[in-house]
Amino acid sequence: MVQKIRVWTGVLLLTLVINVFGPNAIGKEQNSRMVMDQAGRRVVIPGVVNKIVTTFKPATLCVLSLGLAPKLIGVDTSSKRDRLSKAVFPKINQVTGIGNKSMGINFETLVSLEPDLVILYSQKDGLQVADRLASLNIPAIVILPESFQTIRLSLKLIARAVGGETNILAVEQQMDNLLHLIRERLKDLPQEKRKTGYFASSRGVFSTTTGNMIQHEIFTTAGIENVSGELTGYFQDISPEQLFRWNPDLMVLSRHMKRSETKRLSNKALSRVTAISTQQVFRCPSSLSPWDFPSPLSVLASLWLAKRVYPDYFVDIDLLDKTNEFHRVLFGKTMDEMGGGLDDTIQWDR
Amino acid sequence: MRSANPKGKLLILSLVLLILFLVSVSMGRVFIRGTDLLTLVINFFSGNETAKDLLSRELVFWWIRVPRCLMAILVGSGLAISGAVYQALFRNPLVSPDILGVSAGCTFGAALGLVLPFDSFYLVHVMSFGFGLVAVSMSIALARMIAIKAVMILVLAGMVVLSFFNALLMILKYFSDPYEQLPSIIFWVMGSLSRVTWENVLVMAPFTLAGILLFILLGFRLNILSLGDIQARSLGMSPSFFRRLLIITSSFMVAISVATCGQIAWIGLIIPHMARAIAGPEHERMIPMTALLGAIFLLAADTLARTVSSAEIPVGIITALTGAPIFGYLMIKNRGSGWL
Repeated sequence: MVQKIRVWTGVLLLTLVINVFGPNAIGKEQNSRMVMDQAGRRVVIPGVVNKIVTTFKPATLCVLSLGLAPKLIGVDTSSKRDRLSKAVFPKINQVTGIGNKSMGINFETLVSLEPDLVILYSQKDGLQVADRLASLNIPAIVILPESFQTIRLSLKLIARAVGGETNILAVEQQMDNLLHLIRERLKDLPQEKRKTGYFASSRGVFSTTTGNMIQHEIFTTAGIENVSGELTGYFQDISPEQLFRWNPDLMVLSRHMKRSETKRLSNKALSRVTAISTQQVFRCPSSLSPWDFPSPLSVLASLWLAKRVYPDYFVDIDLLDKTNEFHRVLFGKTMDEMGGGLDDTIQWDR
Repeated sequence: MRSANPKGKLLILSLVLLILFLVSVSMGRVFIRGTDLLTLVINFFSGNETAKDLLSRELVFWWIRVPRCLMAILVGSGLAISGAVYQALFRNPLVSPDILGVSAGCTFGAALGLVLPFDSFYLVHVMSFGFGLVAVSMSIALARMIAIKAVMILVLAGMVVLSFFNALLMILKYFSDPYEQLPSIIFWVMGSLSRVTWENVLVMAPFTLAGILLFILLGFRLNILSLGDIQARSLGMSPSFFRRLLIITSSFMVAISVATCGQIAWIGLIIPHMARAIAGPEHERMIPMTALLGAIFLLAADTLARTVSSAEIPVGIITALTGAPIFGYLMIKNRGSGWL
């Protein structure tokens, strides 16, 4: 009997030791990790992340580009309608919509999904939502992708928070390659040949971006001086006179600007703005998903713009080839295969 | 002060408006020299061709600045005068033109125009104007169905309609795409004169001027209406007919303003009080004073909004920042005088 007790005690102890110090436990210890998000918050991710919720389109695009689509269990409502998201991950239709940044997130829906990771924005109530989720032991990270560098940091942060295999190296390489290509080609562009540009936001022709936004970097990387770069904050409204004063050589309209708003460009009052008189006004690609959004795709916007404005420096570059390759690496399908196109011209109402 | 020569005061205010207009059209983000301005004006009236180097400035001056300043005058006077009429009709100094849901209806109409698939530039304006009038009609119809204490019920009906259209706007915003539709709705709703064209001025001017003229002509009747229905009837006037006429006309003026420039707050509320403080309560004198003060106020606010920095300051911020303290001051100054 004593012998049996000794044997069972031994088995129990061994089990305990294996559980506490065994390979699984070590694995768990390794999987549990702390990340610092872009709002400076320390977030502990307890284990493997299998259920991700995104709350705004740039976050969804980052997750898709990292090859993490199957882990999405909740997305911002807008991403459910996004052509690229639907092409890359057709099941996104069945993923729960949790609201959006602009009109608010349904917190209860978000919690009911029991996500392993929630990716939030830093504006509006993003930080408060993150803290509320933390109090419910739901890990939430805040990302702030507003430049090529911070997009890369966002991607790295997501990859590290999710753990396991991601597409991060390939995505970074694609971004680096394109940025390197543009910089190399434009390095000898004389200062006096550099053009000035104006970006009109989705709010309208007289609403523009500031020096703190991704569109500014898209311009500067493409060798274009952003006329509204001196402004700070987010979208700012300007007067038509200010547009006249800046008199940009070219204008880029947000992908999301309503087509009826472009009729304002035909107003006689603006007819002597250089960009309008020379019809150097373009709509930012693409028909699949906006490149003027903070996501890895925004690098493509710089290449597109640089080639549009300085074609002589990119004669041998086939933009569609580059775009298709970029999409293939990030999303597993080329832009052509997904039925997308640049769609960057506007209709002049004259 | 009040009994002092009213015509003299009107003349002074007209002169102030003229000077402000001249200052305003000569100021802006594009610098135009005084001599160039003079050349542009002379060329315009003489039919001379403008020199090539002045063509850009000519466009800025005649196609951006002048219509915008004129629109500020029209909208400012239209909103102010509508406020004065509403305050007289409802015998309530806290009433402003959007009390019957006009602004809320206009805003909803514009937002609906922006999310509809047709994506038409003119549809937004037409829908805005149309829904503004629908909102007023609903308020009047609702009040008539209840048919007791006409004035008070009309205000309450207006609040119902206002809340209803605000709710519809919220629903529309909730279901609109946050990237494609919502930004344009927000931009449109925020009052601004930056989108003004000559076309807008030419549509707006006849209605506003006709409205101002009508209100001046009916100033005496407004005095009687502001005494109450019983007094009006005893003086042989049909209060319901004139009330309806005045409400519809002033609502029409507000609707056309909001449909063109979005919502601009405070003018309809504070300017009539300022005019009353200068000209007294008689509407024959107070209405033209209100129109002039409204025009001066919005023209000054808009000039500031478009000139102080590269980014345009929303004019509503300036009208609220200046309007709120003025209103507070008037409340304190007139306490115990039966003003409120």
